[in-house]
Amino acid sequence: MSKITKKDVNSKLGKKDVLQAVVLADDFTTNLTPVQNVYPSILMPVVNVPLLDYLIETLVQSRIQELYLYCSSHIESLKKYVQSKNSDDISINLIISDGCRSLGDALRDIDTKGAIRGDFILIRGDAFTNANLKNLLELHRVRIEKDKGAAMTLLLRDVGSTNIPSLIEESSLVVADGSNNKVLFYKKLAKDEKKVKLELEWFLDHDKIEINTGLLDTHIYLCSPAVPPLFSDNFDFQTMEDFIRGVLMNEEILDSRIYWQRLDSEEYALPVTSWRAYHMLSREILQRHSYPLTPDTLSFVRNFTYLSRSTYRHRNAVLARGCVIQRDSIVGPNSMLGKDTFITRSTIGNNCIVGANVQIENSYILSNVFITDNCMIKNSIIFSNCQLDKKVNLDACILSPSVHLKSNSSYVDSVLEYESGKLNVTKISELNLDTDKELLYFTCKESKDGKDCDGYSTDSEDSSSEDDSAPASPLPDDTNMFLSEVIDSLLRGYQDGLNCENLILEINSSRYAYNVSIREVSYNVIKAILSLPLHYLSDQKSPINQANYQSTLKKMISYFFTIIQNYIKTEDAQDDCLKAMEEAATTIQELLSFMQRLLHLFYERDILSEEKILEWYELNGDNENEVQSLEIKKAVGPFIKWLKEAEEDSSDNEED
Amino acid sequence: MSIQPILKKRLRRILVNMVHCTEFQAVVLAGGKGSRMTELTAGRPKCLLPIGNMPMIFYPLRLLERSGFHEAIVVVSESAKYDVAAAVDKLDLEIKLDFVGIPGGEDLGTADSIRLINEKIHVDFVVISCDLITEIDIADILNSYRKHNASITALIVPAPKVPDDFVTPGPKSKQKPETDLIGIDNETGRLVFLASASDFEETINLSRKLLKKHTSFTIHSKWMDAHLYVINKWVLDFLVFNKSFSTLKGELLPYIVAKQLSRPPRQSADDKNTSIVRLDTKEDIYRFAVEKPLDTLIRKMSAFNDHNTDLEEAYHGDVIRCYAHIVTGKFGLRTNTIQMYALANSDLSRSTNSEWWNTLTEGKISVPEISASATVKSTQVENCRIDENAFIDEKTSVKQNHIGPNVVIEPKTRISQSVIMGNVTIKQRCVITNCILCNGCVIQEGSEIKDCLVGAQHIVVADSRHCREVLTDVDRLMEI
Repeated sequence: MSKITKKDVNSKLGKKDVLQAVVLADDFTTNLTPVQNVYPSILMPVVNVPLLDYLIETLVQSRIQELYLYCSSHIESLKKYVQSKNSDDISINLIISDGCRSLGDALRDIDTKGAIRGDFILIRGDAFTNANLKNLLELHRVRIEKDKGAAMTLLLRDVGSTNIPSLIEESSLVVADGSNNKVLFYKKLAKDEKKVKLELEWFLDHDKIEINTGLLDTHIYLCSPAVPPLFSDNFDFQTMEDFIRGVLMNEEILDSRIYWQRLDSEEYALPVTSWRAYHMLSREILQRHSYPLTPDTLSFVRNFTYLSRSTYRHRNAVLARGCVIQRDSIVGPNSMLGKDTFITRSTIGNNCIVGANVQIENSYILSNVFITDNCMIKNSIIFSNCQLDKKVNLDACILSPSVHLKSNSSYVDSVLEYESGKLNVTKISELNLDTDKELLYFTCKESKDGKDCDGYSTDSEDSSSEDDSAPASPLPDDTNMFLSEVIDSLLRGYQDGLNCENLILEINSSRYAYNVSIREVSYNVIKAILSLPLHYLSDQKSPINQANYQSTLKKMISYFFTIIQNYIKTEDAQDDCLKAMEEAATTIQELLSFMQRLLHLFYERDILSEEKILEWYELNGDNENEVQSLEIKKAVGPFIKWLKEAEEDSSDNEED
Repeated sequence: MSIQPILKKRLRRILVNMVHCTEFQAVVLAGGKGSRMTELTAGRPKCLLPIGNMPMIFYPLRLLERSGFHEAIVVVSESAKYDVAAAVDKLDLEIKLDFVGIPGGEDLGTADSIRLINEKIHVDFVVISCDLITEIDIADILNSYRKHNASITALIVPAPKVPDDFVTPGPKSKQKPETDLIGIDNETGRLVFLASASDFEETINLSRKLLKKHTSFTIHSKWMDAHLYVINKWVLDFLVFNKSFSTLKGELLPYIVAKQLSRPPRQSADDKNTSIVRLDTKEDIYRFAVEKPLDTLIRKMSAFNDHNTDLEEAYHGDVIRCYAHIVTGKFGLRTNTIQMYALANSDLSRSTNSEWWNTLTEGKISVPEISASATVKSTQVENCRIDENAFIDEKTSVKQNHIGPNVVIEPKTRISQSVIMGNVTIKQRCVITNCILCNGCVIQEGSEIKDCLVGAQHIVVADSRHCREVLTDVDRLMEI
């Protein structure tokens, strides 16, 4: 009897001390199309090593003894992988459940299977970290001692204020009690949210409230045994966000609380939630942010040498003469690079053969890929067993496994995969429509990077404008404002049949409001009148054509004649008037053919003098390189001719 | 011939002395009427209410003196100017004071008062309220101001904790204490958010920009703004220009704190002739908040940065910078409510040798516990301060009290834990516990009053019993 009880106690004690981790082989929410068809997300190679390898390394370092791997797809490959592993330091158990579709399902399943005995570490299938999880779990246990209802501690990495768009997108707002890190509010901020509403109560009930925005969910959670039952009790918890929101909302009813813990500044973590994150993680592993998880220090991948500018080379990799590996790159074992091949910011997997004069930039080439001479590969991901014939040109493409591309083919921005024996090409930008996120890292790299920062600064301008005195919105050109104001006034005046005297007053007041010089006024008034028919016609919804334009313009000129007369008095004003006509004629096609009649009209009505018109005509002729001025010249040619003749006539007359 | 250069030198020195060469000026705001404690302040300026038998204004003045200020401007209401000046004269302070009266009638806010005396201020300045009772060394605050060349540095202290057994004289008030919500950046100590909890109904909106710029900050609800500010000269210029602000704490400070998030208007070079006119007419804070060329140069050359995760320049390139200087573990409160007033007094009377009192006075000012001109016949006197010409008859017991000048206490009376202002007469057989008796009131024979406020000149009739009440003439309250 006594023997048995002793054993029992021993085993119980022993079991309690065993630190357990649950790793979900699939993340269900990651956006790494088309990886889900190829690997479970946990086996996705990052810098030639599956994510799970890094995780196991971290877990072993943190003295975690038991690892439960929850598989829901690609079960065979996971089984094979686990068999190949059999490490002494950690026991890996598979929990197999086909057809599980969400994190909530998985945890409910784990609850029914009853594998979890104590506090455990929940790791989602896309997590990467080098943090010491044991210490963090200790902190969590201390918390549980103080608060029996502490269900979960979120591990968050502080990325501070940053301008890297992928980090900004992933980081969340955490409002927590400043004294014990109890989470009160947790939310990923949408891009367009300008304001965040927080409850006043929180601030009054707690001495200090800490508000953090630059926190990145590491997808690693320290859980008490109460977590799986919580999922079982609440069937609507599907994702982790659901769980956190649900628990925070019903804190009292569920008697559970969530805390958060910041990673030390030297500890690194980044979940692979998108290709952008994948790109970033690969870069940062190569640049040794994740030390000791770097290719040359990992125990299970040997024989990598770390070279300058963050490049790594396996001992068995063969580089031909003239081959350049510029920076942030790695070449895996048994890979061969041909003559004059140039590689930068890329990883090349195992057993790849790359021909001569190939350029590879910003790309990920997994194992057993065959690339023939003279290929250009930029910003692309090539899965294993692909073959590229000569002179293939790829930019921003994803190649599914075993794709064979014929020589001289060229693809941009596409996903290439075999579907029932045929090569299927899908545009990435079309794939994006439903996800509304950038699929690939590079599409954002060039275009968005800069824009994103700008986007922030502009929206910030907006938000500050709410507190009364407006900040500098770039001042629209005053004269342009004046012009549009004049057009408005005239249009309204014409439609309502207002008195021209009043319109003159209005224009003058606009003039002072925008501080416009008198010469600009005459110029703009003429310009406004000439463009007015367009506005008028579009207002009336009648078609804009030559005949319509001309008839309305005629009516308008006779209507606004007082105004024109008022502004075009001096010789300078005449110059401005002619300039405005010329300018308008270049932009308004309908006016061009009317130019000569317009000149005639102004001439007859004594607005423009003969000398001025001729002078303008001669001057206009000078810049003959401009096609438009030539056109105008042509259009008004007959009138000028007539004018010159008339001049002779009139001089004759005067002599009489 | 040789005399001239010497003369010139002397002249220059005299000029330098005449021109203000101090780094900071000090302004004490003592014009308040004590609107939150009208029961006590009826008929006398708030700044002269006695705390430990010293007028309230003594404390901020001594604070300034101790930190090395030689001069200060005291803003008082015109009607009280001479009273205050006379009272301060008696205090034997070394600091040179310039009393400025605010024309009576006008109920001016703190910012209005500052605006009124702007011509006397030539440099950065310290604003201190007359009701700040603390031992904190202002020099530390000035250093923290200098460190970042701030626009405004505010002193933040923990809101005083009222002991559980402490009963405020007067009826139970439902008046909730004001709660300041103070947001401070965890990394840089920048003051990023400042508001009063009563400004909000249920939710607080935080702008995205604030969250983006300050990724980690803490909002405190158990701390308070002590109303001691170090203010940059340009803020004064702005205040003078923008007349819409009437208080510092309620209006100007939140405005400037919020303005830290805005950016100066971009100078568009192309349309010079049109924009100049506009800029001048616009009430823009950035007309005043201009970094001095030398400061810009220093900032550009220095490798210093106050934050490190992004590549923004130091201070995010802000010219407007507000900082919080937090002092914990020291005595500090504002006696602007009856509760705080009573608390300050009781703190001093609990032990005659209060630590903070000693730090504040540095032992230089010793207030005799019992004034030489007072007559004390009682044998049971414990922890009391008794002022000039007070007369305490025999067979009385006085414990933990502040007894003002010319007080008469007749035999067979027991008084404990009370504040008794000047010229109060307490007749025989009275029992007075935890009360505040304002000047000139009379307690007639056999009264027992506990936890009460007795207004100025009020007469409590014989043999009456009162508990937790305000005893005052009704019309006197109406007056206010």
